[in-house]
Amino acid sequence: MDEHLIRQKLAQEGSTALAELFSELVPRLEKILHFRIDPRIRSRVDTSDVLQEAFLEISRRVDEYLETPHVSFFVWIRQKTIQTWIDIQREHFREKRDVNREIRFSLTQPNHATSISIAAYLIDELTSPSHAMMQAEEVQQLQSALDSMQEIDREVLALRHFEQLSNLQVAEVLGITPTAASNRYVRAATRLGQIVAELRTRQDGNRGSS
Amino acid sequence: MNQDERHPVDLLSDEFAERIRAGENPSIEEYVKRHPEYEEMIKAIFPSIELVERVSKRESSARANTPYDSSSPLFAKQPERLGDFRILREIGRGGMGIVYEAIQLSLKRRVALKVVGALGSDRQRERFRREAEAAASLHHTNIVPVFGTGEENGVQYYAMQLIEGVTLAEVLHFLHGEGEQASVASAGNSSLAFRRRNLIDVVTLLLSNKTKEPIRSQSSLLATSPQDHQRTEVMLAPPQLPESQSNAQLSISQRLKSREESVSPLQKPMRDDYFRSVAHIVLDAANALQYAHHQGILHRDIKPGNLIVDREGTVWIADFGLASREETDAMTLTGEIVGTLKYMAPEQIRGNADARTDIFSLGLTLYELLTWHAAIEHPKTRLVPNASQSIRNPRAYRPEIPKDLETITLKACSFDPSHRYQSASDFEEDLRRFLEDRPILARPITSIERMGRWAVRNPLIATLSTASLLLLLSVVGILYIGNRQLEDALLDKKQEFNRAEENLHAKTLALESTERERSRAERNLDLAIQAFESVVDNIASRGGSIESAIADLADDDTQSFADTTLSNADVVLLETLLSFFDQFAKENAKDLSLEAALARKRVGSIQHRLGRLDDAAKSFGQALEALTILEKSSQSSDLLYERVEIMNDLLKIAIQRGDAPKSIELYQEARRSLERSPAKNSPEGKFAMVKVLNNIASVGSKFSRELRPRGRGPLGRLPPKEDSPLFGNPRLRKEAEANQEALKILDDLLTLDPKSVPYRVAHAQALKAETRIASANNDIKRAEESLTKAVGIFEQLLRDYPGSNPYTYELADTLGTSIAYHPSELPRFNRALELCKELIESNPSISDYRDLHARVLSKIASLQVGIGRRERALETIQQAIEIQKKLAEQFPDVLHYQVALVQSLHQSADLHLELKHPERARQDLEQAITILEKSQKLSRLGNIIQSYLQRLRDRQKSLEGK
Repeated sequence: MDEHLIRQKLAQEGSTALAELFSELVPRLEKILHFRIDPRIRSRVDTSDVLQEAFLEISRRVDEYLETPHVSFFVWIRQKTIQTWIDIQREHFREKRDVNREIRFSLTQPNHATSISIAAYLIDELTSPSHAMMQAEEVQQLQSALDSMQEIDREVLALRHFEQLSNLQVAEVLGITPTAASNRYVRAATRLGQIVAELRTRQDGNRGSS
Repeated sequence: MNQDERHPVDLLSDEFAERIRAGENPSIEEYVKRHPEYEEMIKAIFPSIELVERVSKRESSARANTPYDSSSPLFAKQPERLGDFRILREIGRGGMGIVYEAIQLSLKRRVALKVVGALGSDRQRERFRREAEAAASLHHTNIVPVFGTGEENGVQYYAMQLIEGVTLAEVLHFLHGEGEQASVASAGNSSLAFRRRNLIDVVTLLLSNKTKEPIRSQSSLLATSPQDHQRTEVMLAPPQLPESQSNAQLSISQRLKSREESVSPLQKPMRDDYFRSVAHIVLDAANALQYAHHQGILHRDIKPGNLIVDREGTVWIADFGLASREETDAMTLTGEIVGTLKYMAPEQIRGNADARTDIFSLGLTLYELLTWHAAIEHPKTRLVPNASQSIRNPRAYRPEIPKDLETITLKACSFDPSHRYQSASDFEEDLRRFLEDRPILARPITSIERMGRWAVRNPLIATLSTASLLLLLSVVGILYIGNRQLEDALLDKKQEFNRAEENLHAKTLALESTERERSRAERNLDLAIQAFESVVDNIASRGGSIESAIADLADDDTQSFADTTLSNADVVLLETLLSFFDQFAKENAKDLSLEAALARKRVGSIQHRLGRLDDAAKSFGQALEALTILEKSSQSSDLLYERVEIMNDLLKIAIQRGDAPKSIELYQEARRSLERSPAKNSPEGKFAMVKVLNNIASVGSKFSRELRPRGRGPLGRLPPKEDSPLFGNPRLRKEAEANQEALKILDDLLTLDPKSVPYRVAHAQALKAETRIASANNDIKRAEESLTKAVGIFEQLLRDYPGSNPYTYELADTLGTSIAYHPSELPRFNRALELCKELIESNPSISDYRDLHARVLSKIASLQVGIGRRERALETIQQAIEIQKKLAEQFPDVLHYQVALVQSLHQSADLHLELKHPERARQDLEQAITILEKSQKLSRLGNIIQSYLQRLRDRQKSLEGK
């Protein structure tokens, strides 16, 4: 829906419209959360809980948003949802914090966590179960390869493919121009291509020698 | 934005990704051909795009399909070998892992191997290990034997006997006509033929009259001959095809009917035999459960998918996967809910389980086998009010089901555990009686009983989500409205709420995943309560109260001031919410009496702050009563602290009403309660005591100060001392003692924890009280010392929390405390004035700040009078009056503002008189009297206001006299 229409609807119909619009976004938000939640703790997190909490927060803030909408509605909802998750996470895992579990997110400044998420996704695809023991090492390799990319490039990649955001939305989230986002995307995808190719070669090498 | 601005390869890759998402399988070559100019880039980029998209897509669908945990993407590919086992093929998949058919190489036997992935969480691993351990200890003819467990490369597995059979879920699927294709296909192509053969065998066995044998002998169930399944295949297969293809629209009953027509003529009297076979299977399963329960092991996940029937017709319970030893199971005690909602007992959804829970699930399985319908067809609606809360009579689906069998079934799956069979052997016994044509022990429930049970059950399960959502919505709505006219808005928005509620309700249900609806509902509830709290917080943090000078000693250092002032509209709103809350507490499964009591208490404080002493006393009284009851069953010291706090509040009210005996009684009771508590020497206990002492030490004179005419009278040269009619010197001594004790305890507490903000704030408060007490005793030196210390603490707090408005406010208030009514205090007051201006600048709408500003001005005016600058003083007091008039107009129901205005008018009248403006003086007094007369109706401060009014009238008379 057109941004203008969304805002009009929200202003006119209030909470009804918000609930409606939000619920339409739920599948996407679930996907985003699923990706953003560190795989090591994913089993302990229920995304629906996060979404409910996020909805409550969004309900509180929607008037504020409508007054001065800096970003598009979806991007705003996404931000609030991720922020809610960060808050929940802080609360839940505060006591059990340790180096392994410390996962930080930032909305505009991407970081190491994205590498972990991407790596966890890819590694399953790239390794076979009978080589399960190699996984840890490979995850590390993949992770450090991903770490070697520029943070913002890595984030562009994640937003485009795992969160399935459009180039325009990516630009909005990261606060860069669409052209810059597009160029970064191509650069990042090329780099990922190299990383994957290297990993595959190495794996074949390992398999041959074992 | 212009598409042209994007990199051309980006656009291509976007299209490529979109196609993969849409389920296409675009070839990279195609793109190279289309755009040879980018060949190199396409070849470098596209393979990884494909990979990423494939993973992303698989993760999404895995998420949609796996009920428990999508985080352990098990094996995308089948392992070849694990330890002693060579994997042959996959034969099943569940929430916990994958089951393979395998060969145990050392013993050369075929086994079923259950495997969980390397990425499983510690918790999953632990559960898996436990599963194997528990299951291995069970030896029963109807329980799948577990051989052993192992781990390799982080992959955990256990081996069990391979049962050549099919699960009852597959059987039901088949009988439903939903195609053996679908159910068997999921097990992998290679085993399709094998599975299908088993399936046909078992179904034939069930439908045939070959289970008429005496029930106790397993072996007598006939194995089917090859001819049998050939015949059955011929018999059953034809109706499959046309049905699944063209009759998709037919209702289930129509489909059943057509199946009956096609099957029954050949199989008479099959129907009755089918029911008997089913009863037999369930009887054996109940026997196995009884055995396991006797060992202290619950299954917790009985469902058709976990009951395997082999080709001999023997039933095997598989997957004691979620089983736990009752006595040692810490893991499941943590309230973790496992199992499948469709077959879960209500109490299990709430996180409790016992033997009867398994009976319920087995009862539902029996129900489904009899009717070919799930008893709970829409698991997601289990929390929707008034829906699916009762199970349809099986005979409503199929009248030919024997009446006794129906009664047995309904008893087994009664929602209330106490109405079920109390042990698996009771269940077994009734099934045996049925099969032996003896009278069964269960009796059918009447419709009246049914109604009664429904009514009892309904509030437990049904109202949870509506009630919590309703409350949640009102609260959310109120947060929206924020600072507008609340009462009006409440009415206006009502319609909208209703619509939104329906909507949100539906959406929320959609949001809820199958597994944890119940826990989510409780979470809703918590959310609702939290939301309620935040509304109360919002309202409570508004200023303009009679107690505004007393900063709450609340344990939070982030007390915030909202932009509006408390008004009676807020109270109306809160009371509405509160009645809602009460109803909610009554109806709810979860015990909400504590929450309700605390809500009541908070409303009491707000009523109190509005000067509605009667209402406040009533609310506090109710909260106190509820807490006293709760304390009887729980020795929690938190309850005690809450109760003491309420007594503190009641004490303040008693003093304000002039009920000294009551106040002393409350003070002593609070003290006694704390001293008797085992926690009295804990920091919390001590701090609670400090609050009591602080209260008794400050509240009385603080209040009297409020109503004491400020400044010097035109004739009097003496500073106004503690001359309140209520509180004489003995009172002051008591206050002094209490305050000394508070300071002493605080010293101890601060030695332990010098950084604690609540302690520091309380310390400053006590020092402030000390200042006042010392000043009243004419101990100016002591008063000044205390004041300096209090100021120092707030200054330090401000250095720790720069820019904090509450601390700035406290500092200004402290600086504005009069000690000696001496001109030397002027610089201090001026500093307070500066701080007030800062506060108002940052937050012009907060009435507390404006009020403090006026109060400081009026004190400055008094000092100006003292040094003979009456004209100047008059100007100053006029400034104060201007501020106070606005506040009084804005908040006609806030007593404090009215009284403050009256005091300033009084002061102004005196000054006018001194300056020989009798007319102006008369006007001021008249105004003051009018306001005070009106205010009298606002509160029950009766005698205090009355006496003040009398003084004003006397003054008026003396003026007239002149």
